[in-house]
Amino acid sequence: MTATATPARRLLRNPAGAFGLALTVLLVGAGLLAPLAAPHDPAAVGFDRLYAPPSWASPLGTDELGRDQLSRILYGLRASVLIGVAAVLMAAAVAVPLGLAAGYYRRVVDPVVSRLNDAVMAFPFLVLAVGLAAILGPSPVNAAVAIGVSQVPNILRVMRGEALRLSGEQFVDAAVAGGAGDAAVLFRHILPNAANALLVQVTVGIPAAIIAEAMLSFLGLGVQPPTPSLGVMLSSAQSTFAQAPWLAVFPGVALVLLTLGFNLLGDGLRDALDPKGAQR
Amino acid sequence: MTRPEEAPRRREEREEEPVLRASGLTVRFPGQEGHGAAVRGLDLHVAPGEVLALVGESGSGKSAATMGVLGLVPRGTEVGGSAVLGGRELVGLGERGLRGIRGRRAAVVFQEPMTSLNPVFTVGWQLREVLRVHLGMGRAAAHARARELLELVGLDEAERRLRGYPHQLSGGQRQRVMIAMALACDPEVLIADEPTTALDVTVQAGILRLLRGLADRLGTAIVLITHDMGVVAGVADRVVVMHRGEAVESGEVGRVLGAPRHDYTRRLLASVPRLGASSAAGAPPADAPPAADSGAAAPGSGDAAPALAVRELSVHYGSAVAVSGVSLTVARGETVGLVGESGSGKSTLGRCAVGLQRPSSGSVAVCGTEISGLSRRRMRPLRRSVQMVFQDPASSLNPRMTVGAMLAEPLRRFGPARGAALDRRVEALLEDVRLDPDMRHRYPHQFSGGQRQRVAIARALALEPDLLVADEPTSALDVSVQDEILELLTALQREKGFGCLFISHDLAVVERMSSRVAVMRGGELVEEGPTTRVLSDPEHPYTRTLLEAAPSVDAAPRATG
Repeated sequence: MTATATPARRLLRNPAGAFGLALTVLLVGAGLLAPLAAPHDPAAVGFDRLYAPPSWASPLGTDELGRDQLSRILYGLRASVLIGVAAVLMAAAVAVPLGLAAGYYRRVVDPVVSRLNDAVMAFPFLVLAVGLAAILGPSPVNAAVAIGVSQVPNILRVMRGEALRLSGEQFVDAAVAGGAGDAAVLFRHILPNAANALLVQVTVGIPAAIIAEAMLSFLGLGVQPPTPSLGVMLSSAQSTFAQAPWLAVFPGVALVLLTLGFNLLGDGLRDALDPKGAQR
Repeated sequence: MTRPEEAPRRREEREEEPVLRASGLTVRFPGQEGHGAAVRGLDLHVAPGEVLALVGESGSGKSAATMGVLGLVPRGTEVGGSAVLGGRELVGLGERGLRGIRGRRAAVVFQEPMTSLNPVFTVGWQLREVLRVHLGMGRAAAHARARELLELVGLDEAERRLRGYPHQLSGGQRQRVMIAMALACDPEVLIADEPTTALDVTVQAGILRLLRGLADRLGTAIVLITHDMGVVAGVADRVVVMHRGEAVESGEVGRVLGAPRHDYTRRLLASVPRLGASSAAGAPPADAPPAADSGAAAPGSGDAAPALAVRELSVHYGSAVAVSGVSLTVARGETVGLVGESGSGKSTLGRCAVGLQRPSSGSVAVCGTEISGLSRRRMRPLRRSVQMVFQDPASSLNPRMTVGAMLAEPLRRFGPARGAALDRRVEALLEDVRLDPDMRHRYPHQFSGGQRQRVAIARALALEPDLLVADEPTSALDVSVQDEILELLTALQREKGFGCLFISHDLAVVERMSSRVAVMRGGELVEEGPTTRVLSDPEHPYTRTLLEAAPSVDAAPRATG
């Protein structure tokens, strides 16, 4: 019953995980390479082709200003991925040290950090993000900050739990007995062993952040028109849905596929990194 | 449902058709295609009223054999050969067919009684559930039978126990409940997989007596899977010795233990520590200073101070008392054995000695320096003089660090060595514990249990401590590996001259390692003295109880005696 398969191979062997990985790589890649991949300038207005249905020239049609929909979706993916990933990384940068400290210094730090965390958690994720974005004012950076803050509690909770569990392990006792200071214990012995759980939590957090970004942009609190973003496109497609349904359908499908990819990847990672999965 | 109570049968009359007979049994786990199977061509049989011991070290296939027969193995496991239970072939029966066998005709008792009962239901509910599901009993009938079962396994106040929850029972009592559950459907075969390994010796003795009694009174055939030759000697009629998936020897227990034919059996028996076998190898170094009155040594007087001096130490967890007023001294170069059962406070005392646990009152001095009141920061420079080896090497090594990095970490913290000089120190440490220096690039999971414990010892010795606290360093290891580790510790102590506080539940191991022994019970030190005196002529009744309960290979084999 030896674990011969590495986590990477186990991920690829799991059909859902492999599909999630492929979808994520494809869509994130397309978004990041938008300047090269887009067939047209996303801002190029063409009054001779307003509301053009899908055609060879514009495979996904054009919008109310005659702009190429495919190009705008590619740039929109780029905005969504960048804001989503930035938000989660910001959240991790705050949540990991706090969670680590809370889980290790159970008497002093934990009560303060955990109660604050509970208070933040009492607000639903999206309500908190919308509220913060409204206070900070509409801009892509503020949207990322607002989403990041609302993501902190989830990551913090996972980090604290892992730190709590690992600080009871014998190898931590052994490190302390070997003269290791708190920094060495926290960053050399506890944090690397919590990496798997954190990686999973981050991968699951990204699609939530992407949805939140789309929603903020939809409400006019995130990316501002004319800059393309999936949320902005969905928002402006509302009024013309009856005449030009492709303006709502294609950005919607892109958003669904992107979050689906990250979610499947997150689930696949969780299974692949679970040491008990090695025997399956 | 119940079988009429049968009078104890004599061994000669037991020569009847076996209830379980396996022939040419092979078990191959998924992923073992290229390697040997877990079990290869095993033959065994067990008759009603007989206790068959299946003995071997970890990886010998002793559990795989029985679990393979009952289908309690990972999916994709190939089971071949034949296993007939009461006239029915089990191999190839399929999951559906086996489900009808498990629990009814063949029941299993596992090692961990702590986790095998559901904590949110009463004991009575869980027993009744088994009876209702398997036998379709009504509530009243199930209750009566549950009570009868608890009485059968020797639990007093059965009515009260039925209303209680698992956490209100001790480990031994829980294991009795598990046995009661296994007996619920009156199985022909009871498979007990290391049923006493997680229990204290005095509790173990009771469980073994119970199993023996069940075989004699109910005529249940019992397959006892164990690694402990002492357990085999105490209860079994016949024994099958397994090694690397094959049965190397089988026969009457008296014959196998008394006159083993196979080389492996002989080696296994030789590595079992025996009480009263204290030999020159186990004798403490001759230059160990007498420690009887070392409590008088003035602190801070350099070499004269003992490695460890504990005075009137108490530790409380809230209102619970873990250690109460214990005084103990370990001289330099001396090994003191600390014996006790779980909950006796022996591990807490050990953790105080290395400064991992803060005492509630009393003093702990290492090499004459008081450490009990120190903050973690002030304690840090003193860490190098006292080190610890933990019980389970699987969890005491950081899985994300290579062995080399692990050994280098304390060296870098306390020593000037860097680069090539540091590498040489790490290699020398690995050589000290008889490991290949090239292994320093490997991660803990790439080592066997015994090798991991060698790494843990190397890490503890990296700073050349004056005191080594070894907390059950071999109880997670096989006997032959235990033998090697004990040998290594003895040799290293002779080379390096550290004092050692050796914590163990196993009297025979303590006898081999230490010149003096201290016995703890319920947080108090009940007896202390030279090992030979304490073990041959114990003053305290508890020490006597411990000595009597210790399973021994040399115990007169039962029945035929």
